[in-house]
Amino acid sequence: MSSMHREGVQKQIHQDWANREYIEVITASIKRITDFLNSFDMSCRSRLAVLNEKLSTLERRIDYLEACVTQGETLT
Amino acid sequence: MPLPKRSIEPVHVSRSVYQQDELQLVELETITNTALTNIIRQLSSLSKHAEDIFGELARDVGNISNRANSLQARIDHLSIKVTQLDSSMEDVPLTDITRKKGFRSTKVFDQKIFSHSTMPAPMLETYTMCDKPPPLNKLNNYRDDGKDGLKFYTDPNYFFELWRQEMLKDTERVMHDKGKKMNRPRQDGGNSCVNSAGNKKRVRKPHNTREKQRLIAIGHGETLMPNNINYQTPNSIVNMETAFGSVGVFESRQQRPNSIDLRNISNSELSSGDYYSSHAQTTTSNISAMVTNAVNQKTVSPGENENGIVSMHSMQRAEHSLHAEHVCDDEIFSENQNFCEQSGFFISEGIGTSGINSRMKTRPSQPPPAPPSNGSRNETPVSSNANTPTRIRNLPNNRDILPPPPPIPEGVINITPPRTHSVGNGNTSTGISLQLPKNKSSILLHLDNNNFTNSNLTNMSRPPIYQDLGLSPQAEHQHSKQKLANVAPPPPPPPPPLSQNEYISQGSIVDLTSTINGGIIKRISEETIDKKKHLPPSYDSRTDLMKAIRDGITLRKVEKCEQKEIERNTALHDVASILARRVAIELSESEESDSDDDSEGWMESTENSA
Repeated sequence: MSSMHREGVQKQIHQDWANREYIEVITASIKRITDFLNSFDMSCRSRLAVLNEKLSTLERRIDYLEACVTQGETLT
Repeated sequence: MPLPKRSIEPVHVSRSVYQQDELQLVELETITNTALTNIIRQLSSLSKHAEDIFGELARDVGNISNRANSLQARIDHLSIKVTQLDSSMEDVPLTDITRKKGFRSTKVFDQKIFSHSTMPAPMLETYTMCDKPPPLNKLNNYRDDGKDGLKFYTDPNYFFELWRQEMLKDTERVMHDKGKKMNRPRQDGGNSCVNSAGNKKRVRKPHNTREKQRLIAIGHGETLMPNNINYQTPNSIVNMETAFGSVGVFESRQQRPNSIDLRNISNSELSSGDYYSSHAQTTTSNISAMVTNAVNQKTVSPGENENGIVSMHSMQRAEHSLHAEHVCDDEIFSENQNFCEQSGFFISEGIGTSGINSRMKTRPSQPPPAPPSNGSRNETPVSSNANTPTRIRNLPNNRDILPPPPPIPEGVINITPPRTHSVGNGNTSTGISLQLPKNKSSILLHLDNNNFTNSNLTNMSRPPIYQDLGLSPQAEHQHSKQKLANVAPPPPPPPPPLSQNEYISQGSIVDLTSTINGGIIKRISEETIDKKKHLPPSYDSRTDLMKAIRDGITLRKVEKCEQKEIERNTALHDVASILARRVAIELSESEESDSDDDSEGWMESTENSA
């Protein structure tokens, strides 16, 4: 009897360890996903910011060039 | 405390509330299942945030792509336009260039990035979860100071206002410092005025006596400077005469001081500066003797020179006054009468200069004529010397001649100048000087020069008393100025025709003087004529270029003023405008420092040159 009960407890514990490991894997993957999303967001935003800045300068230059070239009429 | 933009919930996956019974039966399995469910919630939350992230990124990327596409289209249009441009085909009018507005980009810099409106959506959600502030603004009706009660609890613009006030104070301080610096340049400007005087010095430099006179005047004191200048010019004349005696023009001049010494004691006294004391001692007998001498000399004086001179002056008068026609005819027979008038006129001058008649004070009013005389000095030293010394020497004569009969009224001055002209050269100078105030300073210079030449002629031919009587052009000029200023003169002739007439008159004078005195006078008169000829083109030389440039400048200034007004009305609540203003002020400050350096360089150069 006692041995039977002991085996049952061990089995539950093993199962619990397996479940916990599974949960750990899932949470770790969720963290990884979160990290990826954060890094992706940050990198995208930085790149988009750089691109936005370049676009702004380009638009200003184009404005100036259009103002230089055009006489009264608008190009766009 | 930094707030996370996105938070995944639930955080504690395995935590939950369990009942005792359940725990006893399936304890571990329940916990596992709870954790798994929370993990799934986390995943859902994560997917939601991920969708948000990707949505934001997609929106930004979409905006950027739209901008890039529009930019690409603009670049294409521009490239086509530029390739189609042909500089040889298009004529760009100069007016368009000058009238073109300064380019100003319509792009607005992002500002107030961290305000409530620019808050990202997930943060805004967390923000809306907060409790609203208590409605303290409802108590505003009961406040006496008119402040918003809610601002005491929460004020989102507090730090911006703090920053704005600080920045405005900084800008004001910078402006104040700038104003101080502007004051310094003003002081420098005063120095520059001194430098301008130094420039005059430099121009006068050929006349060493001028600088000496100037230094002596400074030594006497600044307040006495103008009077001293007038007085010291005679001294300079002597020096000038000695210096330029070889020229021949001054040969007559060299004889003058002797004549002055002989006939007018007061002249020497005046030159020595004791004139006033001696002037008080002059008796009527001296005056009467002077008058008789003058009359005799007029009668004795050969008619040739007088006639010629008188005709010249009469020409000038004819141009300036309506009585000129009578002048030529009335020259000889009205000599005595003219002399009487002249004497009276001089008396009035003497009174004015002596200070008996406070209304006629010529002394304080003398400084104004000085600048033209300077110009004449610069160009024709002879004439300037002639003018100043004669004036000063004549003053004593005038004073000595008569105890004050009331100063001849303006009508006499204005009307009789031709007659006085006929009487003597000095009178002619007076007549001209009467006209001078109406005309420009340049004209005055020329007239003085002409008078000088005339005086030279008379000096050559006539006894010196005439010179003494006649040559006080500036004094009488001021005299006439005062009279003209005090009493409404007969309608002054319009300036432009006067200048032309003076041209003609100068030409006649040149001819007459050349016949009489030789080439030197002619040269002087030619110089004056050339000077006059040079003057008008400065006004006439407005080419289209200059006009266009001026128009463009004025247009731009108007725009700037409007823009400044708009900025003042709208700005100061805007970060970009505040920063732009500050940057502009700093830039202008640096530019001013550069300009100060330049001005200092100029000053140094002028000082060195001087």
